[in-house]
Amino acid sequence: MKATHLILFLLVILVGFSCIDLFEFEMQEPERTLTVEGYITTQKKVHIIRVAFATGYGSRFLGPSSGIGGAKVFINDEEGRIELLSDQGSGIYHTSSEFAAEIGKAYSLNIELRDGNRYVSTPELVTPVPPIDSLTYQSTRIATSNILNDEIGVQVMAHFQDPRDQQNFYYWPLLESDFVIISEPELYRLPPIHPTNPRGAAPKACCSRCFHKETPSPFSVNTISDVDFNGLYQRRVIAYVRDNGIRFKEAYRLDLLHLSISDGAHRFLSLIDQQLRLRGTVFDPPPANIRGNMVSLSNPEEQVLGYFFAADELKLRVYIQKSKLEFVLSPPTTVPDDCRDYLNPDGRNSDPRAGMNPPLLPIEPPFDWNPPN
Amino acid sequence: MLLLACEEEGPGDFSLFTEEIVNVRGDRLIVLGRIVAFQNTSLDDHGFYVSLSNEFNSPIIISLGPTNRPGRFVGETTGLALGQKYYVRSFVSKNAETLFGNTLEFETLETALFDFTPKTQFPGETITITGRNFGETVEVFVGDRKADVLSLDFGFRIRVRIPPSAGKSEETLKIITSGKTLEFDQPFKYVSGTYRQLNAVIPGFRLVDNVYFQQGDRFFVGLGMNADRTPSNFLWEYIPTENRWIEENFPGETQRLSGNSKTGYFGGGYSDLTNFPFELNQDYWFFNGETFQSIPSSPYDFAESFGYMVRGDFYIAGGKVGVGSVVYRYRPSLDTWEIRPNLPFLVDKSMVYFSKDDFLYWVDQDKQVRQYNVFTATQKIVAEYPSPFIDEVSDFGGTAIVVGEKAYIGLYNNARDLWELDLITFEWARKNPFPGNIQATNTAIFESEGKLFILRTPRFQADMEFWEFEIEGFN
Repeated sequence: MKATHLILFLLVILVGFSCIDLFEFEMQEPERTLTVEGYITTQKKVHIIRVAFATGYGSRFLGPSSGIGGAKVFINDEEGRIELLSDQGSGIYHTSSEFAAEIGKAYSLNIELRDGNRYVSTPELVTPVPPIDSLTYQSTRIATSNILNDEIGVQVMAHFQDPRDQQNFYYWPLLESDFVIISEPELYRLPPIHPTNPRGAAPKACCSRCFHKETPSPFSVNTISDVDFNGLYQRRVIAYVRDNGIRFKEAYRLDLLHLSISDGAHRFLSLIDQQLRLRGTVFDPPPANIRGNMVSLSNPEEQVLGYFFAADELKLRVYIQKSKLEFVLSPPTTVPDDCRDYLNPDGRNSDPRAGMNPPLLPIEPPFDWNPPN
Repeated sequence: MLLLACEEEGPGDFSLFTEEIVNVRGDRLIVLGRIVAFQNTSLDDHGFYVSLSNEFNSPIIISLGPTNRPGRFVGETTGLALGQKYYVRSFVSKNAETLFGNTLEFETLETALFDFTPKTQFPGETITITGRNFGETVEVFVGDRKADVLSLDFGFRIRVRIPPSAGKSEETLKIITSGKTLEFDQPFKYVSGTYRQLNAVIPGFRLVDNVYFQQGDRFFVGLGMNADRTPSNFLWEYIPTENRWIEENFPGETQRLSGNSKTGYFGGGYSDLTNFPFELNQDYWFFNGETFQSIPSSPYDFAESFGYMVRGDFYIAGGKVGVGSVVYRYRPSLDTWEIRPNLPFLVDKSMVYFSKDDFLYWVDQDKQVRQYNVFTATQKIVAEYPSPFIDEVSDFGGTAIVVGEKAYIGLYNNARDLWELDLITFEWARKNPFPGNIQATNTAIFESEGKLFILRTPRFQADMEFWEFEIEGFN
């Protein structure tokens, strides 16, 4: 009986070994994907196009997204006019400062890489954007998962007439904006590593009011189609700036653009916005592969990321004043230092080896700072 | 089994679309097509038919070869005739059967010229011509002389070297490409302008900080001081027929660095020559063609200011006394001064300035030519001075004068450049460089019958120089 068991045991082991097959697994390495970012507008200025390789996730690190230099990049319109862009390095290409798109014309972006691969965008038609009658703003409170702290912010609303006779697509990108930063230099304390008086009170006489510049946050893609309100007068939220306790202590000058874009550009931007809003919950839409409008002439199967579009542009500006807000974040964030040192408190953000010193914030307003009374 | 046996693959299990004309540039077409199917379909060929007729007679066939994958495909062809209407449709071939997608139409554009810059150039230098649909071979002619084509970019931009002149300052600019001859309406101009030094001298005087003005063909210059810091409380008038300067009496006191309209109104400035702070002389004058008339003094002290005329009124602005943007206007009809809106920037006499119609123009330290409407108090940048400025070396001391719709600007300190600015298009045209001594300051500038007359005070010479510049002169 024991011998039988032993034989059976050996047989089982042998059978088991003989069943193992080596599974050859070749993981698909992600390829570098061409990415095109940029748009042109009807304002005469330098328009910027960025051409880069995006890096995919993979088992190996393929390096950061790198700009592609030495490409020939130009924009042509339907009448055969061509604007050749100048290579600024790092994949950045500039139009001349005199270049502007024209309403009613369609524009294509053309890219020829040094390896001979050529890409072209589908034509993008510029349609007129209706003027904005006025901009207003209001405080807003958003419940968060933290029951003790709601999110406070400011919504900016545009009042305008949507044209009845055409389908419109709007896009409102936020620009770098200026605001007054209020600090409390009288509350300054010495740094904890101070040799004789760590954290000792050392009030500063100056300065409590400076001017700072930032790109408003949170980042979002504000775009909409008039399919639900064609021809109706609009009072529409076009921007939202979160109150972080510092932005709205006095005045915040929000700069943004009012753009008319194409159906394709709107669809692309909407999908980008949708993907950016994924929070990992069961209610999220599935992650999607968003197709742009660049076509590879060398290999039509090649996926090119990004979307080139042309838009009519109006620049918008609104001064958000604390005195006119119903409420702000309370208590506000205290900045116990000279406001000029806001970017570099106690020199903590300096890097002497690299010779990097964050600049002092100015106490003088920008030359065109002109808040309403 | 029965169900499976009924499945049959046929050419109808996909859809074919001619999706979009992506690009039509010159003789080149890029077009998109799409095969829509739920599964791979083996096709012998796919691509596009392009034809001048919608029946697709004698088509150009863009064959992209066999494929078995649905999705987008792109076709490209060259060699299309310019200025023609074309039709394009996608196709696929399967089992000797050819299926077509929808038809799109497009039009190729004729070759055209847009512009060339600069409009004025020296022989041997380059100009850039822009247009559309230039062929692979391009010939450029200035008059009847062939120019070297240095580059042709993307069929829209040609850089050419200008051939030697044939003794004419204006020539037609002609391009021959793809068997067609195109010509710009606007002529190309060789750089023109001839200088001649006149022998009319103001004996023993090297005038600086002076005023000057012109009334008809009468040129006046004076006041200010001699470069050796002796006063000059008199003026000279140039007599063209005799080619000499004669002295004019002036009833007032020494006055230097005054606001000067260049038409006969002037005033303000300093009275003394040496002691700092300088003593002000706030007398104002008008020369009526025969005598100097005293006019009321401005309520505000001015020195080293702009002086200019707009619609018969004398304006004085800025300067180095008080606020450098204050503006006052003297109205001869009312014999009164009134304050006007401040200029948007600080200005003083070290900047080149001139007035024309309702506008004051000046060239600031950043080379921007600013146009200021004296009635609406609005300003804008209309041009940029083309020559370089070197800090404290060649960014001051220039001069300007308006002749018709053109302004002549230049002769900055240590510089020979003189430019013509078109006051309608705000395009610059280079004039021949000044051949004389550039270690000199501009004392006065006048114009008459297509000529400029420039009085200059050299730094290291005994006498001033008087130059005649024929604007359209050509050697």
